[in-house]
Amino acid sequence: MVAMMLVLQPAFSLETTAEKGTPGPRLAVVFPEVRQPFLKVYHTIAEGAAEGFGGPTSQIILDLKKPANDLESRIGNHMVVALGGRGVTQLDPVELAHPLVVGAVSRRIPGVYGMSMVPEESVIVTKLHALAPETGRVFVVVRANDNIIDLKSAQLAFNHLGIQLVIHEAEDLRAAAVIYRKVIRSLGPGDAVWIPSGDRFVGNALLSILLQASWKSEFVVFSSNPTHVKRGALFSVYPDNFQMGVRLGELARKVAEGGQQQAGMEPLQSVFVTLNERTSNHLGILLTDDMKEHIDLVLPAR
Amino acid sequence: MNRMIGLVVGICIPVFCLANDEVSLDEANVLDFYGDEDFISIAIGEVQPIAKAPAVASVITAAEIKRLGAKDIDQILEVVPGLHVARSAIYDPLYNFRGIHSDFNPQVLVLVNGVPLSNLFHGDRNLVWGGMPVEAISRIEIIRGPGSALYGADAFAGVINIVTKTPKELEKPAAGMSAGSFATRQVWASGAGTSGDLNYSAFIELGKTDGSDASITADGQSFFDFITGTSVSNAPGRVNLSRDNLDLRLQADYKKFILRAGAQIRKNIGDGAGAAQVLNRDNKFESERYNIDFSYLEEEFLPDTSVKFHASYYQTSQQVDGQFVLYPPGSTGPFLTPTGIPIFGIFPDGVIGSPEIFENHSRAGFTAKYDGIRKHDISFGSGYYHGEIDRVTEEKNFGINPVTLLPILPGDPVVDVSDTPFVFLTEDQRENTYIYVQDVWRFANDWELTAGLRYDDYSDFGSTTNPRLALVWSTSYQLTTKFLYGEAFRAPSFAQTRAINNPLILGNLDLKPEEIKSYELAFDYRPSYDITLNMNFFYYDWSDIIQFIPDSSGSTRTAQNAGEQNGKGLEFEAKWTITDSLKFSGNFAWQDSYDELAAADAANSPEKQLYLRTDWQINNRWRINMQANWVMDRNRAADDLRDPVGDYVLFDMNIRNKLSENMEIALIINNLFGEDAFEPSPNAMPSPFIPNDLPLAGRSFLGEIRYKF
Repeated sequence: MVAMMLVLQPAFSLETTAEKGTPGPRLAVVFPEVRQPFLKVYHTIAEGAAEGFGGPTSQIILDLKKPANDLESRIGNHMVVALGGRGVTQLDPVELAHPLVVGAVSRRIPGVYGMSMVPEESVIVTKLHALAPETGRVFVVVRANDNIIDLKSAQLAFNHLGIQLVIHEAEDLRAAAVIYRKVIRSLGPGDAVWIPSGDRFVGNALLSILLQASWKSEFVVFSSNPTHVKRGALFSVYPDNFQMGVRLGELARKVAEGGQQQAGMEPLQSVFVTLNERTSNHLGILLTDDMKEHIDLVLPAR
Repeated sequence: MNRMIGLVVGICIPVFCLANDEVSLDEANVLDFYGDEDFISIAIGEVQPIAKAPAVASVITAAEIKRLGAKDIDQILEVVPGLHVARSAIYDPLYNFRGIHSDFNPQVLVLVNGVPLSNLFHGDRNLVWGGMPVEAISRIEIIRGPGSALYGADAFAGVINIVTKTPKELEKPAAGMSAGSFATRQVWASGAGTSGDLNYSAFIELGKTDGSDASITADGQSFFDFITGTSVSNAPGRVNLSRDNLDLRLQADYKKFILRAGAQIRKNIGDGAGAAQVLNRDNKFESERYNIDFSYLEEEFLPDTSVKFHASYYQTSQQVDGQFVLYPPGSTGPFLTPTGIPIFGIFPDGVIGSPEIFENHSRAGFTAKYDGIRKHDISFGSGYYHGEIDRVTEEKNFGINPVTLLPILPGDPVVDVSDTPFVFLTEDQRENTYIYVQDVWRFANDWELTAGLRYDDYSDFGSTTNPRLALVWSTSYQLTTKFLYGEAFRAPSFAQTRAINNPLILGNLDLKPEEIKSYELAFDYRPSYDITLNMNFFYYDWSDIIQFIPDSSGSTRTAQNAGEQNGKGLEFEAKWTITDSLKFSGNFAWQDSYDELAAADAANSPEKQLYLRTDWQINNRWRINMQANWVMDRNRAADDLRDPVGDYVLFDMNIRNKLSENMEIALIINNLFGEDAFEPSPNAMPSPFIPNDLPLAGRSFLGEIRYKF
């Protein structure tokens, strides 16, 4: 454990709220040193956490390339919100005064409090229903035994809005490609393909085939990756970092005060939506004021 | 040959080296939810997504400006397909779009945050331009082709809109400095703050340079020395391109209000190869420019209607530091009989003429957008402009003495002719009111028609109406096709309408605006996610071109709507992202323009231009950008007997090292191989004053350091 802690170097610590003598729990938001603009993402989450926590909050940036001896003393009895995969895996919850709260990771980690960046399925369905209300059937190809998305709750969420969710499981890329090729031949208006968070099947080649087919057969492709929108998917969700931070801060406060009973990772509730105008024009989607309420960023037609 | 090897090596090295991407796991984790770094920058508000334009348009962002190693907007504009930055005799930039060249370049509208920089005197950006530094720029939007239906006057050959950084973009205090060849030094600093709903920022840039090492071999005085037997020319001698600049840009955003203010102070501005095409390194100009603009956006002014109100004030000056010596001491000046005999003899102090002009420009208006009709986005607006040359001063030692009404003779002291009928230009004003409407109609899936019409009424030359049509068709998943038609006008400048007492040229108050009609067919084709190809074909007809035509008296020329030019051509642009860290881009432009009046190919603009660039992010620290710009086939005017202007290829290199997340250093080398490059000098009768053209700077080095706090 000591050796593990030695790799942590708090390069930068900033008290953002109130002075050190303030009574009550204090929060440290710990995240790894990354380049801009990635760092800004963590900063924004940390700012949100400070607001959600509502108490003295400091930011500790870890330079993982250097050994560190004093992280433990710096963290002291702070509540810790750890952001990012590396920061989280190198902190040992046993050494901390309070249970660890984890954020900005792509997978649900068992046994800890926190929130992943994977949007909750019901949020995505709501956006789909708002932006492409004609959609009756959604196809998704997922890796067999993958737990990134909760298929059961996804099924419920889609069904709740009268949309049929057809789930295909694939063992590997080759199998996924075969399924995609087969599925897209059968799709038309009223259908949609969902490329979920953490998808590793849809590379450039397959995306190109999928989006060309969607253009031709006029079905919707939606995703959790904004790059897909740039390339012709109708819309994508992406994290609202500040609100994610607020929720993490609230969670940390609750945990510190013993109000949060069971450990567990929440899915992301607060998302933004980006939409491809060229694709929506092609599909004949007329953006009403109600629809525009759901769109945060329009990628203009070229 | 060496140059070609350099290009091949520079472009090929990256291909054979594996790019060392050091995206950490955490960065990859974040990327999973944003797709790519560009989108993160958009999502966190650092950059704006590029808005579509139903036009042939380019957008160059701050990040790209840094990669180019550009220090002045001219270096950025040169990379735009179909746009070449030529030089006037005083080395002011002439933004030549698609073969449209003129002495002062009033056919291009340059805006800063939507506010025109056009001056009344020549319709350009000010004779004492002194460059524009780039650190405060967020992006530059360039539209090729006419845009008067939206922008009004002078959006003729092209529109250049410079958008400055906002308080949000300047959130972190930053500073930088650079120094290098030609005693060039530049420092800049920016900062921003927030107080409740108020966000504010400041950006200051200071620059000082000697400008260039290029030499003029023979000048206008060399010609008069030859004719009159004097020997006083300063040629051969270095071009006079010193400048001291201060640029200040302030912005405050409060809720729906945006207030911007700024100052661009130019001192010690050299006159290039000379205002009279005669070298004199002691001639220095000055200019002070102040701007303030205000806007208020009400998103729900009426149901489905947003309205933006805007107002701006811009004040400029063209001043002389000390006395401005047009012809050096011992010269006879240009005052010769047709047989070459000096009329007045030798001017012992030289021929001195120090003209100064002070202008102000006020604008107010609104733009409304209405989307209450299905499938239509309608915008309309109206506004008022008042511009005035409110002060013209002149001191000179030639012409008529306003007190004695006798000629001022060689050896006489300098006489102030300001506020007399003998000054070179009349003080005057111009008013303009306009109204425009534009509809974007999505009349079918994949089809969008933009139709716009603008009516302008001017107090001095009447009214003009200019339409535009743009049909955009999403032809397939990979291809977008645009058909464009536009008309535009260029307002006659005060120099063309109100010049008086000039021994050579006279203004004409009866001038009409120049007009252009343009047809374009453009394709945007993306065969894969790594390759973008753009191609367009254009044809234009430029009429009522204002030229100074010899009068029947023989000694003077008067401005007339005499010229006509048409042109056709194509522009091809390719961008290839080989890996996330290695990008190639390039463009080729070809134009063939014909001067109807001269019955010859149009002069001075390159008929062909090729630009290639490679941008290689070697790892998280190192980045190299190399570019080559090949300018080809510039014709002489029909009556210019010189050989065609020589082609040139300029190579530039920019090597950057990110020392830490906060600090970055760079080495910028321009004209890497020391190419002898020239821009065409003006023609004259019986021979050009500067016969061997206008030389560009040789190889130059610039070191840069920047820090983000």
